[in-house]
Amino acid sequence: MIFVVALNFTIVHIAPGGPEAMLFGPRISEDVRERYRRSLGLDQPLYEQFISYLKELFAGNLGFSYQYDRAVTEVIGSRVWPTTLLIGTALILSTVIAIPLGVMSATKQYSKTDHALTFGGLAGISFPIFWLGLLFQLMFAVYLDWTPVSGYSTVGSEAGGLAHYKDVFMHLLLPMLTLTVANLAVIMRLTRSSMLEVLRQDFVLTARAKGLSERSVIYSHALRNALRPVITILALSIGFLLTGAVLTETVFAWPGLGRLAFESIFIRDYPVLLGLFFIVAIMVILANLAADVVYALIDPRVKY
Amino acid sequence: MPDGATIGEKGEFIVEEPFFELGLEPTARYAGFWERFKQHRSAYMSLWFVMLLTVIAIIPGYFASQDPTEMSFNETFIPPCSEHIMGTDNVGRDVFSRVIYGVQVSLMVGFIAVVISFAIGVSVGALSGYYGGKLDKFLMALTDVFLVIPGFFLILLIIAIYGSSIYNVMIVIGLLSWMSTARIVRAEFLTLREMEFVEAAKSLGAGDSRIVFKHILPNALAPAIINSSLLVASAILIEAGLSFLGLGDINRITWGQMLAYSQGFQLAGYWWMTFFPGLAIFATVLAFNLIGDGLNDAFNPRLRGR
Repeated sequence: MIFVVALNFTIVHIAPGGPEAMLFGPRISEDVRERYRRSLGLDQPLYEQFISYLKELFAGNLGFSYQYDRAVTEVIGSRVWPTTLLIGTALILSTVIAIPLGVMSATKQYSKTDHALTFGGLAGISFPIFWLGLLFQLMFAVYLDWTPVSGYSTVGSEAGGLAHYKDVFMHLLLPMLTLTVANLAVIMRLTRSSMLEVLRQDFVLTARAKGLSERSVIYSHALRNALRPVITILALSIGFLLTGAVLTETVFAWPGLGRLAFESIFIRDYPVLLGLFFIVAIMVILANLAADVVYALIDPRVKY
Repeated sequence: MPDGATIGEKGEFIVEEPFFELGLEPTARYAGFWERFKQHRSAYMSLWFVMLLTVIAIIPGYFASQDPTEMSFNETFIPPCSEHIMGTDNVGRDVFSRVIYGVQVSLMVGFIAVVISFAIGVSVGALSGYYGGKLDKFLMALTDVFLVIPGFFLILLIIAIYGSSIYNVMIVIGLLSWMSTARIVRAEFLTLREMEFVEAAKSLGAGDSRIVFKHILPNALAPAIINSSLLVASAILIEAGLSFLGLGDINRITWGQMLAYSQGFQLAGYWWMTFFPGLAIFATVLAFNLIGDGLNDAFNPRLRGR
């Protein structure tokens, strides 16, 4: 984790140019530039900047956004909810669809269904996610006019309560579907191969020999064991979904973390970028930890 | 049942890695490789498709119907027709010609990024697997750190800061995608270094470098090459994503940029500006993924279809 922080800090600060070049353009006088750099502490040597950055970090302070003139934690905080909503719903939906599909594909290996699903899965991981988003947008929002084109809720709408939730839901639909399709393919492929692996093992043979029904063999014996690698992938897919969210949120102007990253990059808003990176890295690390804990729960052989 | 064997699809015994057990160099693993690959029809077709793309990337002028940068203000937003088979964009440029010229960047980024990641991955994996011990622990910990870092965010950050020339894009993608190769090569080395043919070479007095380069590496590369085919696919996707976000090389025509551009005209419903560049990315990435799948099946007939 420290490594992540140090790496980020280094990368961002060796960069040519700087926020002043972005805010004022190249033609500012040396004097103004100096004053501005001093006001942000950018004239200090790098290691001092780094130490002060670390100190603030432990105090829960991620710095001050150049762009918004507000605390980074505040800027990021205001964007966390839309992304959580987007990623959470996409994760749930894709898992619920993908695991049964993967199981079906594995138990009917080499059947037509299996071939179709395998090819579909491969196509799914080959889609540029933003293209998918743009196509959905064209089809459902522009031509069919079923959903809004972009945004989080209708601008200027003062609807409260249920009407507001419905409004947000309609806006959520397309970005969520886009992310779901991409994530679905990954989880399905993994469920299939991990299921195939398990189905070859001796205990499955034993279960069959005992005369258990096929259903019980597959769902209570095989799937339980096949889920371990799938749980790893679910944890990894948090990272994958966050990545996808940058592109999807850009397409649909969804006001989440991804869109914030996109905006900050162009303004060279270093503190926000660093903060975002920090938060994303922590989310991914936590997801991996959570996966380890869940392992222990479903597999009594794993102990910590 | 023989040791380490499994029961195959039709009830036959399958002995894992029989060539290894004889203590011979496992070159026999490659026997019938090409025939098996050809049987995988979609992968075989994809290989032809990629060759076609390579030719297009080398001589795009031969395929394009007109100069991809030529603007024509009385021919804007023409839907696909016989003269412009993919239509024209907002300043009257021919979409088909731009898609053709876009092949260059995608393939270049895909190949060069993967050459970089291959070099790093193979070195790290080989060192780690051959020497083991503390070096192995350190290198694998490093690999894990790189795996946990959300890669796309880091690439985004670096490109945004250091500028988005095509060289930066290739290098950064290469530097951040070697982890799977390293792990695969390491695993191969761990198995291979215990083999009898390695021991035989050692007892004949061969030095470390001879054993690594002459005996182990040639046998360890195949899985890494297969993995690279999948990495090309993901490098192309990453490049497309970057240029969609406006972090592509502005001096070149890229599919991602074309898509970013088309986004401004989404509401007007000029679908061809969105559809074709995206289709190009999709088809190229799918082709590399299919080749990877086909190679995998051909190389590990035992794992067919997994």
